[in-house]
Amino acid sequence: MNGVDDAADVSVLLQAWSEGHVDARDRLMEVVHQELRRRAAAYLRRERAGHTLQPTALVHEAYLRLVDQKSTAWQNRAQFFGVASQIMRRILVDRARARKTAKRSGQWARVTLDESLAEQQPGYVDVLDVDAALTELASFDARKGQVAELKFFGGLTLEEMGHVLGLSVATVEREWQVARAWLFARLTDSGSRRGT
Amino acid sequence: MEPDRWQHVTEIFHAALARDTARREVFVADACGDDAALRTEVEALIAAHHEAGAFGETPLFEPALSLEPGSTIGSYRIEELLGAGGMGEVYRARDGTLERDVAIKVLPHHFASDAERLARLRQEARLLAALNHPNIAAIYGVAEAGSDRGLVLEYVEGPTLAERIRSGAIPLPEALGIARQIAEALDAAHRKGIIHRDLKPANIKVRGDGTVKVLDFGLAILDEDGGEVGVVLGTAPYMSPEQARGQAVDRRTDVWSFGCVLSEMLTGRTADWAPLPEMTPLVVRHLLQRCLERDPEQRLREIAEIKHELDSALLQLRPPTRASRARARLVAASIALAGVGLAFVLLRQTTRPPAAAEPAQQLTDFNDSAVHPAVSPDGRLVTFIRGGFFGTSAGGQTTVQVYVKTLPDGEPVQLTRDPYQKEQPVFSPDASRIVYSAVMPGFKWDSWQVPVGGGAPQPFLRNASGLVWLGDQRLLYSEIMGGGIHMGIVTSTVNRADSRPIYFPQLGGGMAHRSAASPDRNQVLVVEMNGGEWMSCRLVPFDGSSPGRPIGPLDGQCTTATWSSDGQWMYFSSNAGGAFHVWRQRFPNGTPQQITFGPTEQEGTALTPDGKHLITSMGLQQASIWLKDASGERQLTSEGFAMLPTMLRPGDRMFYLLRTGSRGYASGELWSLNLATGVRDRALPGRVMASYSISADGRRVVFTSAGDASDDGIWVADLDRHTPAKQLTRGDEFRAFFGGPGEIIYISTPGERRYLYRMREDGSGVERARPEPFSNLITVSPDGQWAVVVPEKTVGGRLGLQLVSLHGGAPMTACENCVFLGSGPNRVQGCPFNWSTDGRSVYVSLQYFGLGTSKTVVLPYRSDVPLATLWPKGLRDEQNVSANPGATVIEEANVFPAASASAHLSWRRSTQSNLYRVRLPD
Repeated sequence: MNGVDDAADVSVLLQAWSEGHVDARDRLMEVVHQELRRRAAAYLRRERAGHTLQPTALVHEAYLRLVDQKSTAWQNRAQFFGVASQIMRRILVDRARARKTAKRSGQWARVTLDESLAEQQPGYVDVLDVDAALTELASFDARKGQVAELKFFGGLTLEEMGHVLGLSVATVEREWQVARAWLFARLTDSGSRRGT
Repeated sequence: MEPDRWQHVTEIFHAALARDTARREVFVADACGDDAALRTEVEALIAAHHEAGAFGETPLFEPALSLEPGSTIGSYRIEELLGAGGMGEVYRARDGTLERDVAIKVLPHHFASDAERLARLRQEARLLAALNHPNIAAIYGVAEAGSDRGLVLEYVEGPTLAERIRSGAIPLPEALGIARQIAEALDAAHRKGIIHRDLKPANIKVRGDGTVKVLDFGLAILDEDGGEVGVVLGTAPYMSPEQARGQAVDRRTDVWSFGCVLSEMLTGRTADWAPLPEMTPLVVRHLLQRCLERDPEQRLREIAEIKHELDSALLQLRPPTRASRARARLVAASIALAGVGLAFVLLRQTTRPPAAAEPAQQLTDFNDSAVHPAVSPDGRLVTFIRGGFFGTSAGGQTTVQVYVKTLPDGEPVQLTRDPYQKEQPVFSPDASRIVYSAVMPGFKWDSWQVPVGGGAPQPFLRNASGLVWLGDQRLLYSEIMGGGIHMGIVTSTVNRADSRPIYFPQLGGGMAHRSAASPDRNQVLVVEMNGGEWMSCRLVPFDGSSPGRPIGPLDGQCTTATWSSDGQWMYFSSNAGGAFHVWRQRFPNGTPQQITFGPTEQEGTALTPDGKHLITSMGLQQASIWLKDASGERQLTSEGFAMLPTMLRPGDRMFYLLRTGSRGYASGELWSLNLATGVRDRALPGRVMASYSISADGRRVVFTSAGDASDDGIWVADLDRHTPAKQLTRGDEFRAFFGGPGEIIYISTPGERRYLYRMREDGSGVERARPEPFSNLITVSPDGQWAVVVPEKTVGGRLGLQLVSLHGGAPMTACENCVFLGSGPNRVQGCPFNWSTDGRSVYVSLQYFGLGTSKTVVLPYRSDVPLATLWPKGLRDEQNVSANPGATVIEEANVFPAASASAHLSWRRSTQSNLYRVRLPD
């Protein structure tokens, strides 16, 4: 598949999907998956020491490359990011598992988060910890799991999430509020206080 | 975790967050009862919510920074990352030469060789270099080192506006001060032809000394370029509609964003129209309204105008004098004492149809009104509107608010606090929120939502009212078509996808306000208005294949309709029996039967889920006429519902309608009151009229009948009753006035559209008075020169009135910016445009839609002077109207001329009604 046609192709797939063609969604997943994998790999090659990739930036890059922005409706854009964040999560998790970086020390994540609170610096967490927590959340509240996935791996705004999930912005905001609090508790020490 | 339990945890969590911090702990303890584990869960979640800081809002995973702290670029040493986004990373750096801090902006690592982004960075440098303004962060130069290239910018210490707002709304005076400086910055940019395109709180900094600096011209363009058409750049919540659609933009896109920023400062919320704090001055509300006009053509154009408005708002905010504060207290006290007591008579059993055996149970106890009840799906809660009327409350003076209460005897809880008119609250299918219709400035009917547990109302669906759910994902609601007042029923998904019209009234001025789908979704009951009056209800097929047929009692007005849960019965509120009561009819072809009775009226048909009870609003409406003159104020009518007063000569007689309830809110018998003797008299016994006009000599009346349907049309009668009343027309004519000598001007619907006609007093010489169609006739000047009409179409999205000449002459637009409503209950409230009977002055009522303020401006009128000379400032809005020579202002609406310049009549309306639960007949 060459790059020029990709853009047209993905735009068409998004349109078809929005019109109810479910197989368009599968095809779209395939294209986006290939693109994101390739991007992640390329990124890692030129990566500087000590830096890992930022999934939301990758997803946006993929969008710019794959989608003809002039002919794509805003809602389709949201759909794209919905699919892309799902795939991004899978890629990151696969990669982390494959490399067995053994960074899966919940301890590390907790310490970083706690320090970050004190200094108001952005906190970074391990992908596998996040993945596990998201899976757990989705097991009893699928919608909140979905909202958090879109936010973490796709960097979607509330409005975009609303479009992807067919919910009002207010509902998404409420869902996100709870999901965020629960995940934070889960990924830090406050989780153990809860005894769940 | 069990889904039910989790659901419970989150409900309490949300309800707790909606409360003040101080009351939260007690609330959680209460809500959890003796379930200690539940309480621990909720408290842990709330604690995490507060501790989470920026968790999840900032990238979760480590980003690849372009520059390392400690590294250098040119002579600048990188200190720390200040912020990062798709368009760039900004670092604080130290200028080793000049010994000062600077900000350095570079492209993100992975975009460092992106030609488009590089070009944009260069553009930003050039545009900033052209700007030199104290409210814009300056550019010092460009730093280059190897492949790294960055802009060297003024480093502004202090929080961004976004950070400020995160801790809550900004107090009004400070917010206006900040807005004023932002406007200065934009003004400077616009004067250089530069559009910012990404104005948002995160791009604005407030220094410790109060100086505001606008940052980040990364998306700025030159006005003449119009931007990259087809590409959407910007930040979603602050983007103007045209920018979000990828259309060409100009400086008005910044005006929109400015409106968003100002609104966010005042409300503390990211929504271009979250309710403003109550104390927000009118001038600021208007300013926001004009900035946030979706159509750029209608939007405010010049930043200079914004500055001017902000200055006048800031001026108003100066602390009040002691005397005016004391006056305010006095007024508050007298309002508190003004509660009116009214006795209710409960439903009584009658021998006619099967009637309620169980006494009605009172659910609310207000001394004003509780209307528009709706029950939650589980039957535990009821939501309603307090303070409104049952007809559309549009144009009313009181504020109306959404309430919720637990059935049967929980405390009513107020959920909204904004000044907009509201009606029709309903529960969402999961009962987590209440969605209601609000009439926003510009006569926009929108749906808003508010959490049942309390919280800030949020927009739910624009241009959608009377909304109900059909299952979880589909909605049924009313939508205005084409920007006018033509409102019909549509269905769509909750995202407004798959939208499909079901029914639109045939006439452009018709408004189908409310609807209810049968449980099998094959039929829809429609509640509609036409010509300003409620019609009988209508049964329409859900597939929209036909306009359906009238249903329910046919000789009355129908204001609510609903289905029993088995689809066997249809319930209506109708005044077919003379006053509003609840009726039902078996689907599809039963006979309508009245099921509630009594001297009070009942409106509202909220069925409980068990199908055994009905919640309805029961009470009385009263309206009285007052005379205000040099000797003070006195009440001229005290009984019933009096309206539409006319006074011919000072101290002589006053005519008015006294509602008989036979057909409509706005119809009644004509009474006369002799002011000298106090004697009252029915002027034309047995004649029920919708409108009337007295001849200048006080001898004759022309009226439109609201009595038996066979009497429909225009009539004339002598007030001395020596000759019988004479019927002149037999159509749908609902307003007629005496015009020039021997002439009657009226509105009629010969086909599908309405036109103005004139005829002689004997009914001969009928001819069209104007070639074009109108949707309503408000009044006619006593000299017959001018008709005040509601145009068929709004102009530029604004609903104004027009003064059209009946004898050739330039028309004049009135009240364009102070939205007026020419139909509905306003017909009762008095026409907002009223000539005194001597023809020497005009009373113009200015009602700011939904904002709860109104006034009347009295203007001199003369037949022999062109309007443009008489009123050189025009009539478009309050400023214009009151700036005309000879204008005087009366600080209330619903004012009528009282036959002398020093006196006027006031019309005042009060409602007392409360919710009752009534057992339905089997």
